[in-house]
Formats: sequence, C-alpha cells, structure tokens
Amino acid sequence: MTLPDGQPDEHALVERARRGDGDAYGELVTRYQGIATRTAYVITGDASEAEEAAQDAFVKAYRALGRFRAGAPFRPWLLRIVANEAINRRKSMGRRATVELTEASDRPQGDRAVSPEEAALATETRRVVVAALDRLREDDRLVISYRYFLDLSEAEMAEALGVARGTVKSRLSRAMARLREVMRD
Amino acid sequence: MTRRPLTDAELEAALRDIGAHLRAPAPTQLAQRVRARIVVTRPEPARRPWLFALAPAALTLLVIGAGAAAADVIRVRGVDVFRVPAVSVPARQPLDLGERTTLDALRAAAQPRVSSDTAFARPDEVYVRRSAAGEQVYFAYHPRPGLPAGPTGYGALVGQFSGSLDASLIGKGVGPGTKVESTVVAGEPGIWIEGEAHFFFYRDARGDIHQESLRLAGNTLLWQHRGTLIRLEAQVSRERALEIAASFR
Repeated sequence: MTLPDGQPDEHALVERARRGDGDAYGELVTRYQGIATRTAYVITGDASEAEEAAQDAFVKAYRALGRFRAGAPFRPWLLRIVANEAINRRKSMGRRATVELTEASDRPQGDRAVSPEEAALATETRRVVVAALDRLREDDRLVISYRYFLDLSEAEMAEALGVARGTVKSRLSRAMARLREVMRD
Repeated sequence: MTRRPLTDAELEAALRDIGAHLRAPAPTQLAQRVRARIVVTRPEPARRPWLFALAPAALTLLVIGAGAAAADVIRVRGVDVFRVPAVSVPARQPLDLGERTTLDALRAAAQPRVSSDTAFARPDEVYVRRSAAGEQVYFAYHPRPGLPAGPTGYGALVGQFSGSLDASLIGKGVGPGTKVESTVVAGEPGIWIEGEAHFFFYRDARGDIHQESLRLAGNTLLWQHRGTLIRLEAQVSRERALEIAASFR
C-alpha cells in the first residue's frame, strides 16, 4: 500500500523490514532519524552521543522487529528503544544532561516582528526553564520532553514510556508541578 | 532579572519554544550507516508463548481449538503447564537424554539428587546433558513388576534440572483427559500430572525450545528440591510418586 504522495505506508515498510528487506528499513530510518536523534539528544545532552545512540537504537530495533506487534505504530515503539539506549549512554557518561539551545532568532508573532525586549525576555525565560529542567529527575524530564519538545500525542507517549494512557496524564502533571517547584526555588 | 512566575500557558509556550531552539544534531547518512550494520543480519524471530512457539512438526501433537491459549496455565517456579483442547498421539519420538555416563562418574563431577528408595536407588542407565540452560541429569529405570513401561519405553525416568528456575524451563501441554494437581513435596511446591499422555518440552536459558525433547510423557510428578527441579515420570499412583519424591536426598 502507498500513501497519496507515493510513499509506502509505515505498516507496509515494517512488514517488509521484518522479512529482511534492508531498503524498507532504510526508508523507516530516514523517516524517523530526526525525531530519534532529538530524543537521544534531549536525554544525553551531547550531540555525538545522541547520534551514536540513535544509530545503535535503529540497529537494535531492526533486530527486535520480530517482537514488534504487527499493526502497532512504529514511531513510539522505536522511541522507547532510543530512550533506553540514550539513558544507558548518559549513565555511562557519568554526568547529567544539559541541552544547548541555538541562537536562532525568535519567530515573528503574527504579522509583526519580535521586539528586542521581547526577544531578550524569551531568551531569559528559556534559560530559566532549561536550568530548572536540568534539576528534574530523568523520568520527569523525559515526559516533559516527549510532550513539548517532540510533540508526541498522549497515545504515543504511553507507548514510548511503556505505561497506560491514563498514567501519562498524571505523570506529566506531576512532572510539570515539580518543574514549577524547582523554578520557585 | 526579577520576574513574576509564568502562568501555565506561558510555561507550556516556553517549553515548546525550547523545543524549537534545541541544538539537536541533524543526522547525516544515518540510514546508510544503519543499513551497513544490518546487512549481515535479519530481525530475530519473535519469542512467542509456549503454545505458539512450536515448530510445524510439533504441531502434530496439538489440536488447538478456538480460544485455546496460554490463559489456563498452572505454574510452579520453572514449570508452565498449559491446558490444551486435545493432545494427539505422535509418531514415537527418539528419546534424547544426552550423553550416557555412570552414577559414580556423575557423583565425581556433580551432586545429583539420589533416591534412598530401594527400587530407585540404582538407576539402570544414567545420562547427562550440559547446555547453556544448565545441567540435566537423567536416571532411567527399566520396566519391572509394579513399574510398567511408559511412553518413553522406560519404567521410570527421573530428570534433574539444575539451571536457573527464574525463567520457565519446562512446558507441559495437557489435554482434557489429563488431571493436573498442585501438591507439596517435603515442603516444596510440586505438580502431579496423571491420566492421558501429555506433551513435554524444555526451554533453555535463552528461551529457545528444544524440539528434541518434545514428546509425550506419562504420569509425572514435578517438584523442587534444594534448587533443583526434579521430574519423575512413571506409571505409578500419585501416592507412590510422592513416596519416591520424598526419598530423594
């Protein structure tokens, strides 16, 4: 089966990859390499470790395709493997992860440009929030990252975190409460 | 800079803004690198529940009807017993018990549990099989009065499994004509299986099923004794089986 834009759909690619089709799996890697690397980066805080973690995770995911539930969404399943790989790497690095932010200018708000004052305030807000995130536990950081950095749906978060959908809400709510607490300190 | 606390909406917006500014690496040629690493391998087959992990040849043992699944499972540490709708009689399976040895040779190398029951003190044949799953010792007893030949051709067969019992080592599929009861042997949990023949196989430490062990078995008592899983297969009554089990030291 192919999508309207001519791309084969995810289930078809997964099925072909399960049968050992490297081209199909290469297509899946291309499709999800961005989010996989971002996930690994959020966890490791190190660009080269993130790339290595993503690569290892793709290889592990390929070998584990036999255990993948046919018809299930591939992306959250993959992200769970990526996260495990990145967490292991971060542990062996022996330090907490701190993400770095780009200096890219802020996007215009509606039809007007961002004023220098607004840009400075936004930069300061990002700095404060990132500093607070750095002080959170890993599981809190992960659930916040999945929601706001990677824009995963609740269903995807549940699959990626390996928890029930209802648990995602409570876990995210607790993580946000702890983030606020840390920001108040 | 002193500032007021962010509202929920502002905090959420700030987090999304951070996501947009992450200095995450842009992966380059990741697909090629992954493909280079997977070129010599294939996805590993799924590790399925006992019933569905059987090779086609093994399926001759089973008649799996609608709804037959691993739901009806009886467990003792290291053992899973499954209810199946029917067990059909297969062509006789060659019995592979491992390498033939002697009790004395085995005692020098290992500490097999030995029965003090007169009838079971000296096995007629002794076998050992060493694998990643641990060591398996088999005592085989020839048929004699009071000990008729079972599906194995022996009067009794005692298997001792010294591998880790954390993962299930032994699987048993029993049909409706077979009675399965929980029991206790010297304070340890056990299982008594009696009636029509059931099928039996074991799984190694990697979780792989050893097809050569897939065969029909007769009345069987399984129990744990000081970290060893012991299986007595003999066409005797439950009481006699418990007596024999209690005699193992």
